[in-house]
Amino acid sequence: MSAGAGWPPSFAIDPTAQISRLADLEPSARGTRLVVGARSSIDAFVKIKFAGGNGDIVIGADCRINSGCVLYCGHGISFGNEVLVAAGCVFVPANHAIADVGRSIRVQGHLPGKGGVVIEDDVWIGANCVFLDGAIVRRGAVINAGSVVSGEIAAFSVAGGNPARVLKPREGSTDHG
Amino acid sequence: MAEAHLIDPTASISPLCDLERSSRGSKLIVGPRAMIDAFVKIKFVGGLGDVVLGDDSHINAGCVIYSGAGVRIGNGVRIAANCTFATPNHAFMDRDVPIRLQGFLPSRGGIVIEDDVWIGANCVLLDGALIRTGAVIAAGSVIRSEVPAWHVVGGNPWQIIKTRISAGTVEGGT
Repeated sequence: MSAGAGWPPSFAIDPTAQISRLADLEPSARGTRLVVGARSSIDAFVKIKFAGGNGDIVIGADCRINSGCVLYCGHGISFGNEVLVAAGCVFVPANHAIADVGRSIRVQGHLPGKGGVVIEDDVWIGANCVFLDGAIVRRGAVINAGSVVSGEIAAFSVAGGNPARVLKPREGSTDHG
Repeated sequence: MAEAHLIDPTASISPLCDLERSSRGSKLIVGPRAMIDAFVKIKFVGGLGDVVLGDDSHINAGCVIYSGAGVRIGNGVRIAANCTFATPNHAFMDRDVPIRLQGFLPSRGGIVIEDDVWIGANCVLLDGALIRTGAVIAAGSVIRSEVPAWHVVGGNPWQIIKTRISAGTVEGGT
């Protein structure tokens, strides 16, 4: 992979990836990278912003990032291959420090990282979910719409809710994700 | 050949929305005085249904609609920002095949919103959602079944919060 024509030097977007002209991929001012693998697609109104930390954003091959999703790099975002993300999901592995009530939140900086957000291969994420620092979704898991995930979700499980917890194994399930 | 949209000339469509065209004969039909705001995405995927937006109905910024088996929105409906109409559902019965290659589940009827409904911000509507006349959906709710007319509901899973009907009259609601 190489930075294709028109992409900033910190981007490595595979030439077979499809990036909507209506997505807004903002380059890092601090050298952190955006990697998008082969045949992955990023649809309209997706926003990628390098804020809240110095992590990279790495998206594997054959992933689908649907409209309205927002990814802040924070302490890093890593997607495996064949990850399907429905519309309106937010990935924000960064937390404001809030310990000092005598100062505004705006000037207190961010908390130390908890590992960023990691999504393994073949995961389906339903619409309007939120992923926070420390979220790890293992291979083959399905996350129900509207969930908030900040911990580990087991492989091949169906999980949901706020906070998200495993509801059942994937096998034999006909539920909606 | 992609289907042309059928948009009433009195409808207001933001130049910053993204209304894809179907390559399989599905249509987007928008009624008189309806409004579609910026950053709304409509995509024809996962089925052969149409997307119909009735008269005087508004879709606010950041909403996303996937057509699936069809999305029918009645008249005078208000949809707040960042709602997602996720009509198609991936099949995932087989863990040895990637989900992206397993196709979609059979439809549960698409999504139907009757007249005079108000949907709060950041709601998700799934296949099988049927929201009856005059219902109000609280912000952040997830809906995949029938919501009764003239009730306020909310949550995930949703519950009835209260009725809009008092002593035989309908209160509130403009």
